Amino acid sequence: MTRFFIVYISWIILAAGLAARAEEIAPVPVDGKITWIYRYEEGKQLARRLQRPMFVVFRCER
Amino acid sequence: MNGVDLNLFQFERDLTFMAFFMNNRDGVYTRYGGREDGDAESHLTKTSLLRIMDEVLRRHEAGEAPVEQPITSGQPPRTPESIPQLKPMLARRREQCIHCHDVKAAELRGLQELGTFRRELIFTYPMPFTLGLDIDPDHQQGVRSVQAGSPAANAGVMAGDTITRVGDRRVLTVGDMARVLEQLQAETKLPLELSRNGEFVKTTLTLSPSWKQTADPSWRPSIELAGPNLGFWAKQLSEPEKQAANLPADALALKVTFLFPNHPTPQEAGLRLGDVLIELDGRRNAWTTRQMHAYAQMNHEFGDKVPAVIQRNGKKHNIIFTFYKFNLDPK
Repeated sequence: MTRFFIVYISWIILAAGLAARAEEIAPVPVDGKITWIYRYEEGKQLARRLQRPMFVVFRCER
Repeated sequence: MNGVDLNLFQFERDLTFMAFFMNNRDGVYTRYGGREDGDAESHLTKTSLLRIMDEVLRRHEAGEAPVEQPITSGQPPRTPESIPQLKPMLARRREQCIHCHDVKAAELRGLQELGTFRRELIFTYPMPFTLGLDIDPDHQQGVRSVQAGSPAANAGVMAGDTITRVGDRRVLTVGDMARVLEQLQAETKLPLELSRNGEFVKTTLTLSPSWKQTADPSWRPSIELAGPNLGFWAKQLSEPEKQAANLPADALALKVTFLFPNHPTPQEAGLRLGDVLIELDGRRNAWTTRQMHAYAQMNHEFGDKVPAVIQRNGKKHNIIFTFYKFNLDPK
């Protein structure tokens, strides 16, 4: 998994207490191991540079 | 979904999780996600995810071309914000996050406005179980069992088979299969390629007009577009509670916990908090609240009058629900 470039697109829902818009979300390290990126184009650029595939996730928190 | 290119990322919008393994030119190696009716995580397992990650890495490093190439090259992205039906939905909310299911609801509303909506349209991205295939959640090409009498059984698919191609596409996951199935018309032939004990097997499934429809669509948020709801939430009685109320363990028993404000259907029926619904339209299925709504949404029209039986203070009462149009969204 660490060999993967990972893009994480998440739309945080108000009910969860976070009303942040997607474009305002900064990359967040998960367990100190994975940095999720919330901007697809930014992720794609990094994937090009690193020559890695992308793992793009859509997750809904209702 | 704010700002997401809907043409690039096409998937089951009723899901709460969907993943794509992609190259850096928008090509998709494989999809990961999808669910069966009864279980939101039926095919999300750590084992399968790690296996697919390894598989995709291997294919990526070998220079294999993605199975899905972007269909949007050179075109401006089509975003949810461009769907006119979304604007009034968002205007009624405090938060402006566009959910995946909002997109589907808005698109279906658009079809309703055009007069081309049909209930069957909520059954998007059919999972392989609609063909009679029980796919191993950990090894998502593996057939665990085949439902007797199903299209898969009729085509000779057997437990232990490994599915390698569906239609004209190489598949690694149930998400891949659902993508192929989504693009099929009703009543069609579907070629399938399998590996059976190391041997290559090719067969063809014959699909009926209604093959995409499943028995319990109550998990789909989009079902709210399909028809009327009853205007209340309720809690299923537990077995001891049913016993105390002299109701069979497998009977319908929904205790009303919330009446939608200003919803005329429960108001006119005289429904009260604490009432227990024990029969609807002559049925006593042990539904959840969502399943009860889904029954009405899939089987009734606005304006229908439906008989019901409730239990109040130990006594049975006959009531009539009249189905009015009432917009459930948004909170």
